Amino acid sequence: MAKVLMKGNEAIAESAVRAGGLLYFGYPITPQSEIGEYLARRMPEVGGCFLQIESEVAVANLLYGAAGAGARVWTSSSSPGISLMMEGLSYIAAAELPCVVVNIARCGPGLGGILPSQGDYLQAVKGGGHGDYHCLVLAPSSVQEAVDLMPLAFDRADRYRNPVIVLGDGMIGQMMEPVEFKEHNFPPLPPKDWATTGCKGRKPNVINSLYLDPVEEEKLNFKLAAKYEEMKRKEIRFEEMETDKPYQVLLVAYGTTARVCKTAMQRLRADGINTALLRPITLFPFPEDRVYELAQRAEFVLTVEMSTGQMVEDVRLAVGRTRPVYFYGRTGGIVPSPEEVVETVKNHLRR
Amino acid sequence: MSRISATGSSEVTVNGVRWINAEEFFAGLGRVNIFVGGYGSGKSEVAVNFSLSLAARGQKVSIADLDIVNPYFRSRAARAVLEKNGVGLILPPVEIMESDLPLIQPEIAGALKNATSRLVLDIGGDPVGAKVLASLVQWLPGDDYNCFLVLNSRRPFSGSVLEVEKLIAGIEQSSGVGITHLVINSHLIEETERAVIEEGIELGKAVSKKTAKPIGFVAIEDRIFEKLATVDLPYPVLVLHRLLLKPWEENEKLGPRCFKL
Repeated sequence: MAKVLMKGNEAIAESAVRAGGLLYFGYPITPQSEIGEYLARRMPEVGGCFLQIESEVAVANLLYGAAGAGARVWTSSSSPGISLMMEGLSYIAAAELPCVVVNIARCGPGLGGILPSQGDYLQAVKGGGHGDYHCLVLAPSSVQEAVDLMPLAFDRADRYRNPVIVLGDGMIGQMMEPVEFKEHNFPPLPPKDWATTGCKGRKPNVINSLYLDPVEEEKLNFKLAAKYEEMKRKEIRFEEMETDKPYQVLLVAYGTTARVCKTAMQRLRADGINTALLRPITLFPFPEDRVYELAQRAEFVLTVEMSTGQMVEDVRLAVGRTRPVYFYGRTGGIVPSPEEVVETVKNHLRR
Repeated sequence: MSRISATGSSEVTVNGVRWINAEEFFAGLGRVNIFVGGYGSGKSEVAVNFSLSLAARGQKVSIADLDIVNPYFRSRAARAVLEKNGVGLILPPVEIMESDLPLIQPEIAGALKNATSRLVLDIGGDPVGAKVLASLVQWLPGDDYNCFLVLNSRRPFSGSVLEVEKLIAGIEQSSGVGITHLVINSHLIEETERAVIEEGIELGKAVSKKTAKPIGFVAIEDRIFEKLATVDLPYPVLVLHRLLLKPWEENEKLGPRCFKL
């Protein structure tokens, strides 16, 4: 198929449709409303269902019900809407149901504004809802990567029977880039023999997250924990740049800010300063071992985010006290500029 | 397919914006110039470059950002460059500029009636964005306007005659304004190749044949234009300089800070 020019939001919607995500529930919110708008037009063409429902709370419960019935389901929203879904997401994780949740984050907290932010990192990575659970979290840095991660998100949701979050920000959702849709081949998935598809001729399947017996509840928690450990072994993804040469500074950034860092790295190189970049693609599980290894070759680590410092907590956990870990962030919807990153690197080198 | 060649044609360059073969086009240009089109077709980029080129020709011109559907990459993002180059701005108040409210500035009516200045209207995408025009139709100056449909054949729902016809009908119905010209703006940003532009022109010709709406001009980004060896088109060409950049993109002519959220 020829390349097309798409907004991140449209591309995510099209890629999900091609990955068989034909059941979408949502409620509009800037800066991701184009996802719903695109699907309202596209779903009837492919026999799918776009349903705008009364609130994000309802969305989460629809995901629970439809996933429980064995459908490939997904939703998208932006920060405040995602917060409303958190109770349901905890139930979905507890009931071990597969679904994909796309968060095109906007600045906050509270109602905030409509401009981009990475302030939802901790919510996405550390739980968000109540109880001991994790979502697999994928963070695209380009429109093409958003396209490529959607089929993976659906596959891993089914494989782990766990919610997968695709965490972008307003810039990823709104910017346009050329994209192509490739075929993705994953190994066959196990049958959904747990789904509530009608129990004629078999024992009823029950989808629930109520455990009044502490022993049973603990069993579930240990089972979930084992699943997250398996993700840590198998699912860590990241991109490295310039790590094959000597460097003074290791930059760690994901999504939009990684793009800013790449431009900053070129400028720094022109000024005779060598930097390397580690860009996590999975935020949970976090590439902690690789961050540690790469940090050892640098004088210091600089994490750049559109927040007051969230992923930097995981970077510091990985690096420990072996190297200084500095942070640079902008908020309020302001994207750090390449020159700000350049200046920050130079300032720390001067110290 | 027409060979594209700039040789032997009239050329005017200002602010990195260039027009080729445009003298006749400018002679017949209306006072009010409206840019409509599909979502993400490049209306704002074209409208901003168009305004700059009018100002550079010594004309008094204002631009109104009437995008009520798109939250980012609107022409208001280029306000510093526009202002610096003498283009009047009709924009929402600064404190609510970065919102997604459907804001229509009251001074727009006055600007539409003001016969001493040209006006460029940057309208939001799709029929839903074009709705804003319906409230302004009453002030449009008779025949003294052009309504340009910006077309990028590589955008979703814009790749076939049927889809473009549907788009035209939708925009005309919701705005109450007839589209007078097509603007061919087929591109894939930095990945644009000659074939993409040619494909856009072919689609434009087919749409033109079906709808009797002529091709007003072809827009080609400067970096792409410079790579095309020969260019010879029977249409005016606007060689545009991208101004609505992503925060990490470099703009060597204007410096990296020209687009800042």
